[in-house]
Amino acid sequence: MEFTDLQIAFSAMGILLVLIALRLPVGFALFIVAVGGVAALKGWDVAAGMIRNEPFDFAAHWSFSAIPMFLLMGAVAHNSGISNSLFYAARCWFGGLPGGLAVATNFACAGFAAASGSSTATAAALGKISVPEMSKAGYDIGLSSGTVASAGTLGAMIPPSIAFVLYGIFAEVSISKLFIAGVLPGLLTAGIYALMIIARCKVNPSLGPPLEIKMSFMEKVIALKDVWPLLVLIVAIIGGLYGGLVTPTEAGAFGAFVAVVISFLQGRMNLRVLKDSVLEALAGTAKIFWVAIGAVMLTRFLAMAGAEDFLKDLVGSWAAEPLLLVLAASLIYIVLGMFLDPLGVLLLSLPLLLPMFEALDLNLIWFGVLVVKYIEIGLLTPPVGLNVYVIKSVVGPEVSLETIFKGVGWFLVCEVLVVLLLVFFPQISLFLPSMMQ
Amino acid sequence: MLLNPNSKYIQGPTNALALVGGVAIILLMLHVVADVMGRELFRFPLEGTLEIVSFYYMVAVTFFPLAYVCHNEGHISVELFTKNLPRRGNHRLEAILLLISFIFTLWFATETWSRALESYAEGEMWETADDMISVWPSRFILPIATLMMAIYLFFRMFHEARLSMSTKTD
Repeated sequence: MEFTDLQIAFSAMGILLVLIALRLPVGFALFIVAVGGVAALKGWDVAAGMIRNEPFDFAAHWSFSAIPMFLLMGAVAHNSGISNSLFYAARCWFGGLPGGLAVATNFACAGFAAASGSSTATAAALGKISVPEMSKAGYDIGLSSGTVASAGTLGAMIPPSIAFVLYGIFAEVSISKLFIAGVLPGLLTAGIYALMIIARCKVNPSLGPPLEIKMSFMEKVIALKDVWPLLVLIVAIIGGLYGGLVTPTEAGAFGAFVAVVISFLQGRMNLRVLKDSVLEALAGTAKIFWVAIGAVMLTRFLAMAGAEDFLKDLVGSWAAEPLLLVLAASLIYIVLGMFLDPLGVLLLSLPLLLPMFEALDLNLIWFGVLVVKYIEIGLLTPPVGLNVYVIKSVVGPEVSLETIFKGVGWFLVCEVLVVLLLVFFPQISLFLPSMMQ
Repeated sequence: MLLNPNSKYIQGPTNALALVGGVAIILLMLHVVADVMGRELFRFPLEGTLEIVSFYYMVAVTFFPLAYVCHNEGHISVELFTKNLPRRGNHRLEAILLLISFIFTLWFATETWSRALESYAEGEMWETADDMISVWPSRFILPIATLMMAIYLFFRMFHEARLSMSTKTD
């Protein structure tokens, strides 16, 4: 019996999901299915040719150097204590509210996101400090773990952001503008999260009892002084980027360098901090790229199988109407996000969706903000919700994955609201970039 | 007696490759900053920064830590469906997944090795603004790094298989 190319593509996607569900690392699963699929379509020589060239060509890419550099910057910032100071400063200001520590965690994540380009790194950095603190104060573990997992996703929305760097490269739009476009949507998300936490804890105080913070206003202001390294970092990056000193790619290396210098001036840089930070950035980079290269292989295979035409036909009639196209894109992202990691989602979806958005003359910066939003949501949805896995590894075996996914549920409700606001009010994303002319 | 995947003979080279990756990440940072400073302060950019970053540092940073990641953190994977398997079943599944990963990685290493030899034979170069740089040496990073990962996966596989045999059914 002969299979058509599309049947091969569908079977391959089915096998991919099974392999991932069986715990085969996502990168290996992508590689194996892509190579097997190409071999089934075009023979082993073509598949081998892909392995011989694609991984090197993908990695040897100047623009991608921003990825290890932003990871290094975040790791140095975390290991030299910025995430700690942020959490304790936020604790002074928000601790007295209902669910105050969760609100503090939320805003500390938003602040740390300005030093970190990655959602998983942001969640890991704050998770280690805030979850134990909240448990000590008697917080519901679903609320505390759900808060860090969700607020960690701000790492990708608030600049700098690896997700925006990648989107900018593929969509060929200005990364500087994308960075600025993410600021308001990121703050909006943090604000809505905070309101939800306060409301829930007001209704049910046992979820997150308020702390007694006996500090005067002046004392609270003084507590902010430990946050200066973050402010210097933000000013250096924003200044460097928008003052025309560095390109977005160079901003990564520049930011990492400034973070090292700051931590040196604070007397916190030593061999251990350097080693931990370098290893963190290194492992993060290798993990991200292993999956990314696998995803690129899979897109090549799907293109050979003609999946693009198939999906175009499927979305086809919707693609003429902007709102329907956005809706179709939303569905695609939610489904892909459930099963793939952010990079896989980005690399698989953009070749299909970008031309459609371009054809309708929709704003690609606005679309970029939506895409990053969807990617963040994908980090929280089961079964493949990477931020939940990160927090699971922080909190250890006492807390089950299901508990954290449940805790995240309320934040996903907020995300629906945020997405609707972003779709119907493009100004939220486009106002700041429009000031840049 | 087979080597334990945690023995120093496997951990040593794994860490050594990660160290090379670590040096590359620091050099990447310093090189780019030096280029920016040179360009902005003295109008004297470092020639070939883009090419050296792309073809050397990036390839080293991407591939050298692969075995280290397997050893210390594990690649990104999904545990939601398999976490309730009995212990013995879990070890068996792990051994099978490691076998699959090992075969793939070994194939990856042999293909990229022959590609690197080709590149060496033709003396592959890349053009910079007004010079040429050799690219072929960095082609060898892929087979070296993935061979190390394959070796690690191989010994981990035997380790898990042995555990599955010594674990009582439960």
